Amino acid sequence: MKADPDRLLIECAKNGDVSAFGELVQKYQKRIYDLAYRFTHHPEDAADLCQEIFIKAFRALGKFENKSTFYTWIYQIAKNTCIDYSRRRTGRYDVTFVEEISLDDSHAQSHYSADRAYRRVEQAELETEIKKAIEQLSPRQKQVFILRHYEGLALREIAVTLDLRVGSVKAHLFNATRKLRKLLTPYLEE
Amino acid sequence: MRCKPAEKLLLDYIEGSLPPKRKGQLENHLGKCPHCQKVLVGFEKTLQLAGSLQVNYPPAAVWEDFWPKLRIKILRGAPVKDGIWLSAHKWKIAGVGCLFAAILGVAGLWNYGLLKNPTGDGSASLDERIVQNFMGEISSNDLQQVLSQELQRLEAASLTWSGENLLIEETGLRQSTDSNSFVKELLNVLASEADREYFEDDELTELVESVESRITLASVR
Repeated sequence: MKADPDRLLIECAKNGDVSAFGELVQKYQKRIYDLAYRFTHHPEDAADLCQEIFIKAFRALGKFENKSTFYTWIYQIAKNTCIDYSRRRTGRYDVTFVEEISLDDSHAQSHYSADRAYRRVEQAELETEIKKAIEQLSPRQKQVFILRHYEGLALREIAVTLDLRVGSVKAHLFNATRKLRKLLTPYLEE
Repeated sequence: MRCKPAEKLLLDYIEGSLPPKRKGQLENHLGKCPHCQKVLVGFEKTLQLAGSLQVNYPPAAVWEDFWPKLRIKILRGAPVKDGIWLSAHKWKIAGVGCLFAAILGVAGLWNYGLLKNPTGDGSASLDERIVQNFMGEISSNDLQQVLSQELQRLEAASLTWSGENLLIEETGLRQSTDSNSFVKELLNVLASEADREYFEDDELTELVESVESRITLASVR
């Protein structure tokens, strides 16, 4: 197996060097955040979830045996934490999460900028609808859909992660896609 | 090919992972079926739309504070000690949890009247037998015998139905000569919410439900 470039940092962190762990955090925080965001659809919640993931990783560092890369290991922790999160939070997407789009900037005077701003609003609305639709999936459907379509995991990897059969993963994907299609119908016609 | 099975192949078709024979059958169906063509286009657009969703990042200040805040959380609160305490007492916690669950379970069963009249005669249902075993009124061997009979009865009653082959094909099951392991495998396949929805409105629903209602019982063994 290829040597893990993080090995030295991991060893230092295992020996109580918190700053060494900090370097690992800074190296991977964005990738872990991306995964957390897919499950939360909210930047601050994703950042909180990200913190939870890194704290879990720090606590479990003693169990890390260099059998995989640090990223592979922490990604497992991240996936499981996100899956737990999606089980805990079965509510609907909160529209107050939507980032406010300002039409009132200095460039909005010109027709071109107004048109662009309008499109930005439209895009933001569309994103909100997509997020709301994803939030309406069952926790299992959501987990499978995110891991497949945003994280690009193979069906077998998803099956192992979620302790399902590949056939069940496919069934969840099918049902998720069917439900999303139904919910997003008005936006598919354009 | 009918529309239901065709629709279930569409995602594999979009991903290009269908075996050539299946792909040919599906394309043949799509060529004649406007409904499935519409579903295919709908799925493609849905995946495209969902895939267009960008990750929104928090303001720069959140990132700047990310590690300092995390560092404080790590250094504060002795999280590792918590972990050690939990680890050291996990069996006690599990024991208390099991006891609590057992009390709740017995109370629930009593409410449903399952424990009120343990018959002890040959007419008791499988559910009652499981409860009797739980209460120590019959041995595990006796319960296993009842389960075995039930599974054989199930095989004789349901799995000779003409939908059997279709179910085997859909779920990818291997047909086993051992009826017990076959039924158990089938139960595992059908035990998830996904599979229930997958077979929704299909001619398999009835069979699935009949098998599923016994899966939980079989897995007790």
